[in-house]
Amino acid sequence: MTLPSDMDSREFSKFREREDGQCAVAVDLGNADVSTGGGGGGDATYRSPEDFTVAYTSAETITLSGLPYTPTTVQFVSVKVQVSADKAVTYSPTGSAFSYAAGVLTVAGATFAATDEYVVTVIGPDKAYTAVTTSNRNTETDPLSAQHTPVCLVDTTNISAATHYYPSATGGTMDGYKDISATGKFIDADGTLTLTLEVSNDEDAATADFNAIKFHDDDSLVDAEVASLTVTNGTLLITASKANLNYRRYRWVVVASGATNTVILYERKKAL
Amino acid sequence: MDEAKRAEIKGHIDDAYEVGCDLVALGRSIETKYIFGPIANNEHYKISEIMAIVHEVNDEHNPEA
Repeated sequence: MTLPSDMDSREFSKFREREDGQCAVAVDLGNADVSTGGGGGGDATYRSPEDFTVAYTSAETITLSGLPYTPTTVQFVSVKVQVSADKAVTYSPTGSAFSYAAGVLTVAGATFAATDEYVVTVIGPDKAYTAVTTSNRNTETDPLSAQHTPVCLVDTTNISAATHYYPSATGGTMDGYKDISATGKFIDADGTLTLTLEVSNDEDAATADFNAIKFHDDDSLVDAEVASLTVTNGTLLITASKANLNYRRYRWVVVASGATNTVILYERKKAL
Repeated sequence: MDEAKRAEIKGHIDDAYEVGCDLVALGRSIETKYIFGPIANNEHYKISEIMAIVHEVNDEHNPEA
């Protein structure tokens, strides 16, 4: 590490080289000596209102909520109070006695008011580093494992004697998804209900040529690739799926021979 | 389902109801009996509508629950 010319040896002593080669910085907080930048070298400063919320409690107390850890008194750095549009007052542990317990921060001599806005700064555990496991934390935004869409395609009685498409005649998109499944029930006492699955990669959904493909009947008594599921004069429970449905659009097709029936289809698409 | 049919279904549910019975099984039984007999033939009603009546009957039999 190179010491800047304008930095004296006392300031240099604040920098510490860790075993892994990263730099840690000791910050003098008046009545606290807290190292930041340790571990993963991430952010260890928590500040309201972004990281937690602060509410007025009394002239000398404010209540903190939403902090992901329980701070101790010595970890508080400052309390900035916006008392009016153009005036702020900042309290620090060097000038005022801070004490914290059970979510309530007391600042001796403060004159908080209910209409004040607060920016409370407190040091805590590194946001990106877990000291106990000596590991960096990585958070994935909108992970694939969370990308799944359950939807009720149809839950009705007495669909007409015709061909019906779900979610629509122009199909649903598989963009962003990999697998699809459908469960439901067909009941027809005097006719036939048939379920098939059609797909297309055509860019124009309105004129796309959909073609039927096989899907898997997951029913424990079947467990096989099928071209369709059919019930005649009876009840059929549906558990159909298609893994890696690598097509642009798809549509479930229900053909009803009569107009007295029960048709239920619940669909789930997932990305992972 | 009109009010007259709803009342009719409720009557059948009330007749079949027993304290502590499986409500879902009761609802499905009524659904089936309206489709395949003996109550009716080929009359389809949404199970959610039937279950709403089942719970209504159950509440009437268990007013303190």
